[in-house]
Amino acid sequence: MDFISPEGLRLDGRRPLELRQLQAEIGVVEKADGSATFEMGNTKVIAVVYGPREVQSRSQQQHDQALVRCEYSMASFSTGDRRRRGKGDRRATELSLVIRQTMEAAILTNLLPRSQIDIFVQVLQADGGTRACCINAATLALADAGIPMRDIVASCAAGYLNSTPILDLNYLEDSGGGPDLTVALFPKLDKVSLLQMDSKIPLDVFEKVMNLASEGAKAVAQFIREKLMENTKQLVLAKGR
Amino acid sequence: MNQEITRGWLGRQVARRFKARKRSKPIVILIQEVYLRDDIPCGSSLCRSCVQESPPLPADASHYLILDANTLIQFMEIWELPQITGVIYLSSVIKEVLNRMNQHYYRKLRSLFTDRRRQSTFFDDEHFIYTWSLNSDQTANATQSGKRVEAVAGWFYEHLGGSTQIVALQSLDGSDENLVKNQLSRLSISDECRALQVLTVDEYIKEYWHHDTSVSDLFSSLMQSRAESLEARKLRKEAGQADISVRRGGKGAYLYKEHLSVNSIDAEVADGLLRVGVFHVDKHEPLEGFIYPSNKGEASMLAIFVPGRLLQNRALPGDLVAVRMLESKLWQAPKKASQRGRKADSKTITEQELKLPYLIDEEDGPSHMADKNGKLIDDVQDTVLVEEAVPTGVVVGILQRFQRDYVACLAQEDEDSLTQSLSSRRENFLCVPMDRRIPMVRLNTRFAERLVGQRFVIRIDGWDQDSRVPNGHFVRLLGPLGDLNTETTALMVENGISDSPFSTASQQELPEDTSQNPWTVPEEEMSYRRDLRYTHRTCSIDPPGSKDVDDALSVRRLPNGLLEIGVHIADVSYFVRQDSLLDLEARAKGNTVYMVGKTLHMLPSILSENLCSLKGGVDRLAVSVVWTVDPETDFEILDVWFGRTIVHSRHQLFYAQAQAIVDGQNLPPGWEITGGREELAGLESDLLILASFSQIRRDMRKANGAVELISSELRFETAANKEPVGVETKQELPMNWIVAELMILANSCVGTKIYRSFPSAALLRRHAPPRLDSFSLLLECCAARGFTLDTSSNKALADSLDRMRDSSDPVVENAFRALVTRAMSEAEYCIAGEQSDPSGVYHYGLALEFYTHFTSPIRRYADILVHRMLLAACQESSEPLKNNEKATPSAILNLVLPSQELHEVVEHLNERHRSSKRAQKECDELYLLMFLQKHAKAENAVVIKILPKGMNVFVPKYDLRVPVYLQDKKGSVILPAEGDSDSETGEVLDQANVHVIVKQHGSMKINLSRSGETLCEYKLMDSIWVQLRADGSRAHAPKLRVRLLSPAHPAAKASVVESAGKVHRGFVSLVYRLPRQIIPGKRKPGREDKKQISQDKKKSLQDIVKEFAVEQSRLSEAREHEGSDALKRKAAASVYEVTEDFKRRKVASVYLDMECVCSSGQQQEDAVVGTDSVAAKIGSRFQVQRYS
Repeated sequence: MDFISPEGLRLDGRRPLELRQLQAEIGVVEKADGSATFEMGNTKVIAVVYGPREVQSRSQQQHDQALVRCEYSMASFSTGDRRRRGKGDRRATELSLVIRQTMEAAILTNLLPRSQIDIFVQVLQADGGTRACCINAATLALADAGIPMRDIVASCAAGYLNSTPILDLNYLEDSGGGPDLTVALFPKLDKVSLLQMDSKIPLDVFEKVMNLASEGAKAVAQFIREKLMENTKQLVLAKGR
Repeated sequence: MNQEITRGWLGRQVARRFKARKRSKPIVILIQEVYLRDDIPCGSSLCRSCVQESPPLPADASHYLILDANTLIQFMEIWELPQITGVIYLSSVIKEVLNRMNQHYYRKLRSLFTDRRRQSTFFDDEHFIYTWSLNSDQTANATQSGKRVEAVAGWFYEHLGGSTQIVALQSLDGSDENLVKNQLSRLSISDECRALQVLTVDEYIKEYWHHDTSVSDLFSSLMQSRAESLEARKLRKEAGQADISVRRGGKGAYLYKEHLSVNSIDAEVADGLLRVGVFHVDKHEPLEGFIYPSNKGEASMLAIFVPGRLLQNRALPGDLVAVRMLESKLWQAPKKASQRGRKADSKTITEQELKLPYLIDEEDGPSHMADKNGKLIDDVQDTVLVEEAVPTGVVVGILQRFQRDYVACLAQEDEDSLTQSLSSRRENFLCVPMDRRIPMVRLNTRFAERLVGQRFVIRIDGWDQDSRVPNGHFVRLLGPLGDLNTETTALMVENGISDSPFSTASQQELPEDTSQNPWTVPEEEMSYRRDLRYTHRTCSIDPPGSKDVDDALSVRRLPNGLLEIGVHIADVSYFVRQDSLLDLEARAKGNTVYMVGKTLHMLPSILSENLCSLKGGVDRLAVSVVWTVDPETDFEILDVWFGRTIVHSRHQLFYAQAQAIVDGQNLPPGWEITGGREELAGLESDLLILASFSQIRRDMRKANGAVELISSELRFETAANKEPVGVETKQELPMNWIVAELMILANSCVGTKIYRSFPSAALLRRHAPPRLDSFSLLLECCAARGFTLDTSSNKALADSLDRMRDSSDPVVENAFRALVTRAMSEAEYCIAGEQSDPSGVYHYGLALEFYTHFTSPIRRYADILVHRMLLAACQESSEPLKNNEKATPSAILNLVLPSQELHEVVEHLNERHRSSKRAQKECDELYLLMFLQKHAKAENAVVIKILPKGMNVFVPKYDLRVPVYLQDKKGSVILPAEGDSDSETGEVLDQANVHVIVKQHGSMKINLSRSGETLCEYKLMDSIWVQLRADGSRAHAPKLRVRLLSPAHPAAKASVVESAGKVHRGFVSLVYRLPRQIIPGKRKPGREDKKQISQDKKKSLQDIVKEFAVEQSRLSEAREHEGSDALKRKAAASVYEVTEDFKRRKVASVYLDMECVCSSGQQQEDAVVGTDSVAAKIGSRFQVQRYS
């Protein structure tokens, strides 16, 4: 199976360095403090943030910083076959931890001591790159909730198939057997918050793929910034004057 | 990294597709994104608007062709013909084809548009915004897909502005006149202007290919077979509908079980109920098949046995099949002991096939080997034991048929009926393929009279359930049966070797070399290549009459007493550029094939015999390996240099001539060399140095465990009509070994160099250690004679063989060595980083860490690749780099081949190597048997195995392993022939049953039945005499017949006398020692030299030159005091001036004034020798420009 046609086009018609269509919406769940949906191609994720609020179990309270909790789940209708996933699912636990750590590094937790910030992320439609999409959605939701952050966290995934680095894999390409590298970074500070890969590749290939994923994350950051600006302008208009 | 993330796509759609999947979920809905764009190039050289690099579609084509899915599948063979060029393959069509067939089909399709010689392109119409349409499902019917193809054709027509004809093909069923008219009217093209045509295949072939008979013939034959199978299916349907009971028996009975569909197979494989693997069949037991199932590319240890036509269920050798295992009580035992417990390695199949001569048919031996049921008895044991049963399975489906051309001829009975009753209008005939593994094939043709007595090529179409044989169609005629030419061509077709001439397009890439415009070394080559024309005495040594000289050798004496030994290889990579048409054609061929009387060259003769070949007396471009060695310390290699050079070979010698020179003999007339006696003496000393050097390297390898193997090559003398009238084994001289050793060393050094530079991508050649069970026969023989054969390592094996040499008959020892050679596994090309085998890239037979093929680029494609890699490693690539890319070795290597392709090319080269080896061997055997048909020969043979009713013997002269029977089917003993030529053909049977054979462990005796007295006894490893002759066979090649001769037979006696005169030299153990006075001007302190060489590299330019000056003056003084030397040379040089603009311009000018005093008249050479040694010393670090 040729993942890249002899002409350089991928299975869905993109070139190796092109991102999928990005769409985002902020403020979808009115009850929550902050919420957002983020779509990368067919992958759709909704993130909802509650906080900062009172810590629910006194024992976990931290006197000098906020407590960040994160819960990741996949809707049972998100993949092709309807499958019920329990919360104790290993993958869900791992991803929850990963997202929590990533966002915690971005939030200025010492400004909100003795409080709790809950991030809930749910995948509505999975078509490759769910990890990256979750982080992006969480960023928007946190921004919507007004929680102070060092910088936005933008994330993107990249891989290597047919001897070419490819950006933003979809499900078919993901199952193609090549490496899958996800990177989350702070674009303005140019620091990496998350780097995760699950295969074995030689070092020079790794360098190429990582650089590509970083560039992709920067492009996503640009989009997130635009979305936030738009949202802010709308809010300003709604307030009048 | 400055990669730009652009957004080149213009729009996005979400497509819903339906796919039939596992049996539990018949239909699965797939949601996929489709990104639409407008930057897809059209691929045509005529286009002026698209931005594209080297568009494949030619500018001068008469038309461009667009196919739809049906025509692509049905007439695939036509589109695979090399004449069909300028085809546009649409992605929607390809997708439809893959859904109809299966995913494995993709590889075949891919080669149609990626091979540049086909000048066809892949156009992604599904993602092109102008040709995309909403309903692009696969389940679209014919009209829908037809409309799509026409829409794309219309777009192409508009895009190219009508500058070339566009033809879109439609399938036969569903072509609608109105559709065509609508399309044309929509594009407002009148009917007269026919630049856009929508045709059926029939019309297309008639209009555009009526002049080319191969195309039109193939088309009609395909049409016929299609029509026939359609009719048969219709009849079957009618019969089936009419009477269901017909299915159970009678004519319409289904002999075989239905195959499962590909989807259900995939489902069951996923569940673990079925195994998938390639179906293999042994040539000697065509009814016994084996499958080695592979799990995700790794060969497993399991071998599934599939015997008999019923269980095989219409699988043919090479097909990818799915097998269901049977319960253990239904397991069966194979007849051949060697098939049991074999390691699952698909390569071993071809090994076995290579080594066992395909013409010895043990089945066709005296049929006493069969019991009353007609089943063949195993020659190893008399009863089939239950414990020997192996896992057995049944084929339930075929995933992919193996498609290739088969050579066949009409079955005898059909031919007879044809010749007898010419009026019969039969259209179905049975033909017998030459390959014994394939069953008979039913051919449907109207021109059967043309096929009588001929060999022809067929292709198999399919095998219906209710038919006992598969059906196929005729492709082309080869020639009359039994004619040597035809048989040779048949062998070539069977092994996939094409003898089509080089295409005109690739010939245009060749440089010109005519008498008006001779080819000379271009100026820019002289600027960067090291010029060895005048400083080195280069000679080449090859078999007599060879025109393609790959390699040349040279020896140069340095003033400091060291030697420079050089191996120069023809620089083919300069003429054959990466991805040029010549390159692609050579890659497809893989290597030059040498068959008796016919040579199929990999490169056109202007290159292979002229411009690349290092002929004597002309300047040629080369890639050289130059070693600096110290003759004092056993030729220790101090330094090695690789690079591009210009050489001038002075003497083009052949082996016997070189041997005579090095032995110091007087040369017979016609063997003299140019240059007179001085030159001869110089050449003799050069050859002696080479001989000693190579001897030392050989001893080093032997100490590391190199195994000396022998390969017997046959040479045939042919008469005017190409028939063989004589056969001889090739005699090897010590000179052969000397040259071979130098080539091995060059290969090894190059292998090491490219491995160090590209540890993950170097193309090397490995030789795995032999499998232990291949030695079982030999171990038995050894035990019988009291030898021990230690097979634990290559060194142990070599030592065991050496011990044997000293204590036995040379014939037996030779035979033994030949058998050990047969037991070896095959060497193969591999990529350094991808070796998962524990033995890695080690070469067992040569005992070398790294080995590759470097020294014969004219006749092997792998060598051309290694040349490119070597030059990349030395950073001397001739291909232009992309802008801003650093010239690192890896960047240059990426130009050589991207890693994905390298893997495929290596597999392809291995397969080509095996096929050509097989073809060469089969051709040799064919000629041998043709020869034996006319002249029976008595030869020496060695008993290697005792069978129940005879023995297996090995004939070393022809490298044959044949059975000799001592008992015929009635049980009477066959006596060894003592008589004369009257009873040549008949066997001497003991009718009166006076004799009886007694088989004991390790020996076979013929005793008198009454008295028990032993007449003759045959033990393992005995040397005996047999008579070989051949009988013709119609459908297959001639069959060998072997007869035992008693020592009293006159033929045996004559042969003994003959061979007593020849010294049987299986290998060489001569030692060459170098006489002292060969090397002139040797300085007393030898150790200092070495230190200097190593420290040289750290010194600056000025120091080097100063040193040289000091040295030279010292030398000249020393010589004045010394006595006379053998060659009396005196050279003095003084350094005149050294200007060092080095730091500014990186150039230093060294002016040397050479004062030569020579007594032998070689002035110029000495002057050059002096400058050269300076240049050599400097050249290792700096660039040298020479001014005379």
